[in-house]
Amino acid sequence: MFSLPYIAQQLVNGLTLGSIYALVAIGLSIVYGILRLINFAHGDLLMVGAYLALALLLNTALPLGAAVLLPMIIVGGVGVLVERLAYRPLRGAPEVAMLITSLAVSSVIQNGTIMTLSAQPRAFRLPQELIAQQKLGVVSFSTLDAVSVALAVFLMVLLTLFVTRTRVGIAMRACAENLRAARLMGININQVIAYAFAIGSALAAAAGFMWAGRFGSIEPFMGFLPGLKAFVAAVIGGIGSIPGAMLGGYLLGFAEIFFVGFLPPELSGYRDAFVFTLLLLVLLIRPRGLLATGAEREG
Amino acid sequence: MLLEVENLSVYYDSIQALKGISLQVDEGELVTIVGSNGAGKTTTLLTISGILRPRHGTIRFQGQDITYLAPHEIVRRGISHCPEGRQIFTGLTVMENLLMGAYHRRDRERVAQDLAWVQELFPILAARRRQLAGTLSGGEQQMLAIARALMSRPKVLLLDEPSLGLAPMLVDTIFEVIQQLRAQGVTVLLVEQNAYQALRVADRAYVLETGTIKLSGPAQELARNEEVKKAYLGG
Ligand SMILES: Nc1ncnc2c1ncn2[C@@H]1O[C@H](COP(=O)(O)OP(=O)(O)O)[C@@H](O)[C@H]1O
Ligand SMILES: [Mg+2]
Repeated sequence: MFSLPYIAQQLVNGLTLGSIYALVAIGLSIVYGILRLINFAHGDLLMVGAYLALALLLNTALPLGAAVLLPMIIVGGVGVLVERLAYRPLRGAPEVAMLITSLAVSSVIQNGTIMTLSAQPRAFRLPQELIAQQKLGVVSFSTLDAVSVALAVFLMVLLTLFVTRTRVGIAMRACAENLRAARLMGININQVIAYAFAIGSALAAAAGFMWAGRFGSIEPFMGFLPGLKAFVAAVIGGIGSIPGAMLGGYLLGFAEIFFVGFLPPELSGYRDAFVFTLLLLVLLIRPRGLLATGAEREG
Repeated sequence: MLLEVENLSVYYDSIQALKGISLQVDEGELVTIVGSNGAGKTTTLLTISGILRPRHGTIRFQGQDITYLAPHEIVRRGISHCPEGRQIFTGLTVMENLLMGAYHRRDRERVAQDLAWVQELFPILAARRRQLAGTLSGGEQQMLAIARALMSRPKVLLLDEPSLGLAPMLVDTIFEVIQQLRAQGVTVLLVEQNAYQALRVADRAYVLETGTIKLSGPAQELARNEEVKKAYLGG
């Protein structure tokens, strides 16, 4: 059973799942890095992205790329809007106030979706070209898997270039390390925060397409599970760190697939419990996550 | 008058840290605020920079009221703040730190000139520019903090305890640079517990005690004042 092809197959599956977790974890992590906000509404933006993608696939003749790109742009805008309306008025308030607000935002988005579209799951039918199975040596995977991994890697490379090569990107890292010093340097933190929400939300929308394609159906609460897993991934990697979110996402993706793929099938129902056990183990050894940097922030 | 602070009162919740202080800084001056730990020096600078909000009083810069502007607006107008405890971005390279100091500036050529200028002031930064700032020594970090603040080409530079925690030789280096800046026409408002050095280099000085200005005048006069000698210059 544990033949080489089987292991290779599991690696491919881990890579696909990890790509999704990494994309979602990045958004949670950059927002947390700057605002110390655990944004519970983040997974719901993934859901909005999936609904938008489905709407485009069903109702328009736009090329497939547009069904990924347009939701990213729109959801990026929604993220900025949510920050502007819900979180910015709380700037300077205790962190718990923002946390509760993000729970409220999450309910508003979920219930808003139910009221406008119903709670019924909908089939997320992929275009034929994405369903096709590919074979590479001994492993097989759908075109969707390949596209997901390639897109995720591409987006993460872009993000890395952004935070190392551009003025606003470097400022984003500066804000995450020391918000007060960033303000003293003349950095408009509201602008940087808007960028962080736009980027994080757009990545969540891309992940929404991948997640929906993987499971074949979407519903208003679908953001909860990937949101939660991505949160675990971000914490494992060291929340606030972008490379940490990527590492945590892939680690969690591989760990989960291997847990399901190599342990007795009776245990596979415990995969979520396993995820949290893994989190606890990592935190026992490295309490601030694998790639945590910088000191705790004062004021 | 370049910078005028009038009747400034600042509170931390219900604790009053500044009790209606007034001070002025004229163009080209090196003015110092001396006072012991907890006197309110840092609070004064943070309020000028827009990080803290005063309950009463006004801050004017070049004749305009800037009391309630956002910190980035204040930097844009020409006030730069080198904070207490350096607060450089340790996870950014030296060069990235310097670029953050010039964040709002679009005049690339001038920024490049200023990069050359601060690296001339602190040659060690040129040698370390690709290094992560967190790997610098304490003295080098202080130099980076000052250089970063200068990268906005400020009309007035606020310096909060630049000599704090440095070895005596480095303290001398920092004060030499401060004098050099002054000679180049940079206006400086310097906050120091090291009253001896601060009064030696400054034109004018204010003595701050528990949120109130106790004395003010030419720095050399204050350095000879018996009260000041007793309280801040070790007799
Ligand atoms: N964040 C804060 N919260 C409450 N009180 C503060 C805070 N920062 C400073 N203080 C108080 O305000 C007073 C002035 O502090 P500060 O401006 O830091 O003095 P200095 O810079 O002269 O040492 C002190 O009594 C200090 O305890
Ligand atoms: Mg102080």
